[in-house]
Amino acid sequence: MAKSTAATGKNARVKLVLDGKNVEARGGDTILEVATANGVHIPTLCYLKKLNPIGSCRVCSVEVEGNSGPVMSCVTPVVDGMQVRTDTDLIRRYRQQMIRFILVNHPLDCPVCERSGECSLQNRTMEFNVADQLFFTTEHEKQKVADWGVIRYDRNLCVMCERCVRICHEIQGVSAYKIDGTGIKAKINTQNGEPLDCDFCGQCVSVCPVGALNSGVVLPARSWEVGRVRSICSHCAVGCSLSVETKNNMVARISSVDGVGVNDGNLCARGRFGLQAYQSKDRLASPESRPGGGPRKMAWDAALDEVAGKFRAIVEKNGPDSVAVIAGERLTNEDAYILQKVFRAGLGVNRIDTLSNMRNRKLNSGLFKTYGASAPVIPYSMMEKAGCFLSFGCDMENENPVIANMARVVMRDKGTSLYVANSRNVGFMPHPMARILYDYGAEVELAAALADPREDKDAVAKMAIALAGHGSPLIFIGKEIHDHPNSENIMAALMALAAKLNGWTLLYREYANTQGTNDMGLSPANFPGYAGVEDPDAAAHYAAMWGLELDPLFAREEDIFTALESGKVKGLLVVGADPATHFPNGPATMNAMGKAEYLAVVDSFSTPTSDMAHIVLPACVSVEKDGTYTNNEGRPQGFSRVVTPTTDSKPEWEIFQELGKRFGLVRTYSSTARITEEIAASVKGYKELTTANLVSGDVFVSYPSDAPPVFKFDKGKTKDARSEDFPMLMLTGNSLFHLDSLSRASAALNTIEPAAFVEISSQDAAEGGIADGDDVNVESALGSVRAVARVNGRPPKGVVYMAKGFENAPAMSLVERGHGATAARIRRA
Amino acid sequence: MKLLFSSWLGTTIDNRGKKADSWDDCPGVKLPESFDGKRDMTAFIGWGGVVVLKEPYDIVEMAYSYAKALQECSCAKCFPCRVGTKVMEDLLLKILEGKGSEEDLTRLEVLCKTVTDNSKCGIGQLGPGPIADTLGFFKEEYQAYISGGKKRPNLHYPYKMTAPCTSACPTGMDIPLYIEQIKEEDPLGSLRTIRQASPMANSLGRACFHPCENSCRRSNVETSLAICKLKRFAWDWEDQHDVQPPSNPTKHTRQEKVAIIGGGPAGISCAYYLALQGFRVTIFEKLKGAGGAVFSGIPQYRVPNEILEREWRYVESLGVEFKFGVQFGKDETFKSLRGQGYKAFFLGTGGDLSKAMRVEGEDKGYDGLYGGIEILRQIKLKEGDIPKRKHALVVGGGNTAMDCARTFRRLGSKVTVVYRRTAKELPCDPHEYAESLEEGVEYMFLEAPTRIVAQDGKVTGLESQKMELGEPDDSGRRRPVPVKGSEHVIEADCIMSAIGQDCDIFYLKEDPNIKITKWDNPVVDEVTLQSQEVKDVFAGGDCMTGPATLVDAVGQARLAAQSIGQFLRGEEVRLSDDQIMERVIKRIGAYNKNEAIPNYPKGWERQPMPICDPDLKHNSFSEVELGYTQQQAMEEASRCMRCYIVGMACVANGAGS
Repeated sequence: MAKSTAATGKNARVKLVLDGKNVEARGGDTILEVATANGVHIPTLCYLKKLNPIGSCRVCSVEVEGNSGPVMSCVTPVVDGMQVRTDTDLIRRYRQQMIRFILVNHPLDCPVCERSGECSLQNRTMEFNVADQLFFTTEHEKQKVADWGVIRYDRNLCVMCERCVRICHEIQGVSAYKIDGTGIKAKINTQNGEPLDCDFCGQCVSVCPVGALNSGVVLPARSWEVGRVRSICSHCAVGCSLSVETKNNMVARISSVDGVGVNDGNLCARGRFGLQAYQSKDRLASPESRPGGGPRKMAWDAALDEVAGKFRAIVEKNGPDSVAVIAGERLTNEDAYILQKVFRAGLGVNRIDTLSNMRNRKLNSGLFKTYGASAPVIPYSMMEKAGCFLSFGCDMENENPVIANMARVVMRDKGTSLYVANSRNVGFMPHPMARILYDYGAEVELAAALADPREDKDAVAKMAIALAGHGSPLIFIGKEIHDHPNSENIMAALMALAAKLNGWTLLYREYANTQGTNDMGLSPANFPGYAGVEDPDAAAHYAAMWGLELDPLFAREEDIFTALESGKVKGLLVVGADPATHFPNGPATMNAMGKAEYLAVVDSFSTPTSDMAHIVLPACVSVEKDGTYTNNEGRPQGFSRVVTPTTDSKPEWEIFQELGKRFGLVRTYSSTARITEEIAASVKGYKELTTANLVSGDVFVSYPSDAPPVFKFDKGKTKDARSEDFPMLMLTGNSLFHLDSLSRASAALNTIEPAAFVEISSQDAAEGGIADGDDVNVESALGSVRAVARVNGRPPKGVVYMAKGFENAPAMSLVERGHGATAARIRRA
Repeated sequence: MKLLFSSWLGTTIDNRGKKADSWDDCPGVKLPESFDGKRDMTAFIGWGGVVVLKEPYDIVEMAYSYAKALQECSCAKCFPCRVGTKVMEDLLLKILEGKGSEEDLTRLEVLCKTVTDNSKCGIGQLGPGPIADTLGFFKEEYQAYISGGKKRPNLHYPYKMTAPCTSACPTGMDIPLYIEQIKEEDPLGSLRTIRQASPMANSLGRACFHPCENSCRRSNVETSLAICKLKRFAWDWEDQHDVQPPSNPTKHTRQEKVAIIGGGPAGISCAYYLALQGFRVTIFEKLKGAGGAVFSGIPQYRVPNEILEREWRYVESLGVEFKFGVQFGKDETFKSLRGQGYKAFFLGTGGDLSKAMRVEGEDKGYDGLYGGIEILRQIKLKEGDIPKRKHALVVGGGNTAMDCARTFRRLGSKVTVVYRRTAKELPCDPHEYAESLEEGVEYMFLEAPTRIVAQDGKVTGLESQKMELGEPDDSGRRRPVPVKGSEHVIEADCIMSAIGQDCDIFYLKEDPNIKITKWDNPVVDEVTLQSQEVKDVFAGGDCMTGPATLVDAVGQARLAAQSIGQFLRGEEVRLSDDQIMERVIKRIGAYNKNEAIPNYPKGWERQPMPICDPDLKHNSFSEVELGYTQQQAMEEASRCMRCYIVGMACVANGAGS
């Protein structure tokens, strides 16, 4: 609850008497908060700590000396000298009456209600010993369940506590719900009465105290039948904690627990409703080789023998630079550590990289130069210290969405102002103070101008003055900057702006372990911990750690696909990545991969890349293995196996270890924990890692930083790529519902967003004769992709936007290497 | 008044069974006997109890109708009221249909207490009380239904949901709702609610005299809500964030043209409501900008003109045309505008002539002698240089006097306010008085001017006579009586008269059919604000009532716009039953300053308003009040007890509309 009494200087200590005990409290805290802090139990039903108090259930009543009626403790602040009694005859009688009121028309559905066993109404009924009913009304009709697909609302079970309305407004910023009607007939409804069309984050489902709001994506199970294990989401880089609930080794439901982890019980649609992917039929089921005649199932040993044998042969014939490894960023730290160890120590192969780094080599090397680390990471808690927020090239509501929830809570409780600068009309709720729409390519100029307040009256000057007035901005930097060809200069300019105003930058990372895979040395330039591969001390350190001799390694920053095209690289291992979909210039990329003598793919799902492979090795998903991910804050968080694989998959590190054995490496690790221990012992910055730290997620990686006092950057604009043939600028990013194959294997997420789409402004749509929902071809010099047109106000005239996660309509295939955008045209299909 | 029965506000008067001429009087209740001039009001039930005026009435049917009304009004945001009032409604219907039992009466009594004690807002807290009263005082009537044979008479029960603050507001704004929306972090929703009753959220939020706060039940606990400043917060939020204000979906959907004479708060508000009804509205304003007294009178440090401009530009965007520098009566007339197709007129010319002090020397044109209204305008609109004055005297004690005094302090003068009564009787906003003291304004009380003293055409002093307080006059304040022989001269080089305003209605001379009062106000119907002699002329605001307040002007403008709309659409120009009920509730009084409030512990004081830097405050015209932060606004809004109440009448002789 907002504590403005602190701001007004009334943050005094007050003394009160609570059930006969003298206690001290902070002025402005509610009676309920003070009671909880002092171990006194007051029952509640509608109260939720992360929301402002609602006051609808009237269950939390107490008696206060001097007041003849009950007082609601959740909404009443303590005052000096108050005398409170929480458990009197009157209060007990009234609490029973409140429950009787709810039960008046509540159907006796407990035996079939999904919430049974974890239902606040059941719990309060038991707690207050309500065994009879004194109140009756005339029967009214049972209402139809509102089936909004992924989310369903049963009015008959609803107690109108209003938690769903409040969380959707205060924390999600969508305000999808309202109270519709008056009296006992009132119900929760969408704002316009149409079917729910929102973020489908499921926050409403997670806070519903009874069975009214439910998800359609749940395996039938009683709450006491499921096992519940805390885990870390494997989609994006926020690093949300979630609970995986299982029954009979099937993932039944994903839920979240308030107060746990960085996300305080908030999740997004991918994290909460993407569970069907884990055990979907799209999983790669067993090792499979694809000789000329068609796929052939193999046993693991035979498959591993083949892969190891092929790579060894290529290296023996052509040297260690003839094999390359491209890794995805969902590998755990342990997977990544073993991967680079096996290939560096076992085969002397140093062409190891991640797709993200390959897409924008300069960004990471530039950041490395500035920060000595791979990205400007800061704890999310810095949001509470920030003087203001600036969202730059970042669509906060759609990228790493739970960070937007955290920002919204800070804006609610501290009134922190948000400023937005973007090349599209991205919004935010609650409204930002001001927004600037800039031309793609003019970012550095804008960032420099924001650091230089002038007395001019234009929007840029006003925003610069406002930022300087607030001071200490926290700058959220998004995907558009990450993939920008000028990203190095833009980052330097933004870091200079932050430094000038005593603020911070947070660069959004894309996948669950983008940060960690970089930390673990999946880069041709460095070992784990960012020591250079050509640094003899680093090489000696790891050689000693691994107990073997390391051949000298040479940083090979040449693009792997270029090397494949020229024939320098003949063998390629792709692990948990789909370059055909996610790397620019898809056709050329696929062509390059097709040239490989041997292409081996390790993945959990089939993708266009795995379809091209000579052999496919199935990998576990996060719920089937142990490991740690390092999130956007540089915080490693651990999770452990929840279900045993239903397919013949293995955790990635075990697959690499097996290859390593066949490369001649002797030492093996008996469990993931042994690898974690070694990371803690050997990787600079991960020294504090112990198993205990990982479970609590309480430590941060310490990144070395020699930040120079002056950030140098080149102020020039990027050339506008648009031409007469290709008059539109197509930007790419991720949709809220799909990142890649993990989300695309979820039936629920595909129901919400089934197909590739392209956002186009209404002016451009009108000029092109395109209506909302039309099939269109999006074309660039590199090819054509079909998508569904979404005519909305987000892109300005001359700009279109496509999300890149659709493997059947890959937006990246239209984009040149080294870029995140391209000149394009849109035609009706 | 004399009535059959009343339990209103805890005083019981029971005249049942007595002859009409021996009825005890009930001084605490004021109600009209006729509902609308055609139908009788026989009973009233509301938050304070039950009142029965005369036959015919049926207590059980009225109690049932009241419970049904409570259930219809129940916002559903708390369990006891949402369910409890439905249980009450069903129980009462059961009794009304002859199927009830004695046990039901006991159950009903327990239910009333439970709902009252545990509900979130006034509907649940104050609604069941009167029903419990009927059980207590009219048991035989219930028993008549229970024992069977009694048939319900099917009388008519119009009702109105309001709140003490809403009832006190001349615009009838839904104050508890807009406060709740601020509490729920929805300032734009709050502003939408405010705009249903008034477009002037900025001016009101900065300068309203807030009668609502004087009727706020929270002051019975500790202090009233800062209703006015919360309104300002909602306006400021939209103004300062990246938000598009709402558009008008009914812009110019009708053809009729309406002329608004005067672009002050009354005119702008009337134009707003007419534009929302689809009419084509033009405002004719003689100054170069809109806002009336807010534009040219209220100083920059209270309502900055840059923000005021955004306020009326918003109204303009809804389809209202503003014509500046046009003096009605000279540049345009009724005849010329009717010739241009204007079908109705709203007179909102305000009262912008300073009342004369009627002292010797006042009409000599001395340098340094100003009318308060005129000098404030010259300063705010920067009409030429204002010479620096050493010592300025302000004659008067209202808000205009405060504006003059505080303005001249900022210009560097020593300022003394000369007032004929004492500080206790000052009619200005107490807050303004306190700020003026803080800013160094001095006061001479019990003084009244007698003569201007001048030399070489320049003011050198004010001859003033001491006063003492005698008997109270019509306003209830003690009349000042001159003390013989006490004349003395106060040295000064500047004197401003701020003792009241007169209205300049010279333009009405054009049409002698329009009646004018002896204080120079156009005469219109008290309820519909339509001239009964010239039907296309309507009036509101200071020009019609005499000098009053900003919010009164806005409230009348809303009513006038309704009447104009009815007139132009050929409908009967009248109030709805809902509006009649509003007036009934105003009559009986929605706020009781002696009410004890049981469920709210005291001690949660009002949020203090942040003030600008003291240096800026004393030496510049920078805005003094900075406005609440979001945290302060949400916390202040959380203090609101949401005192929604339902008042219901029993109306006989035919159903209403």
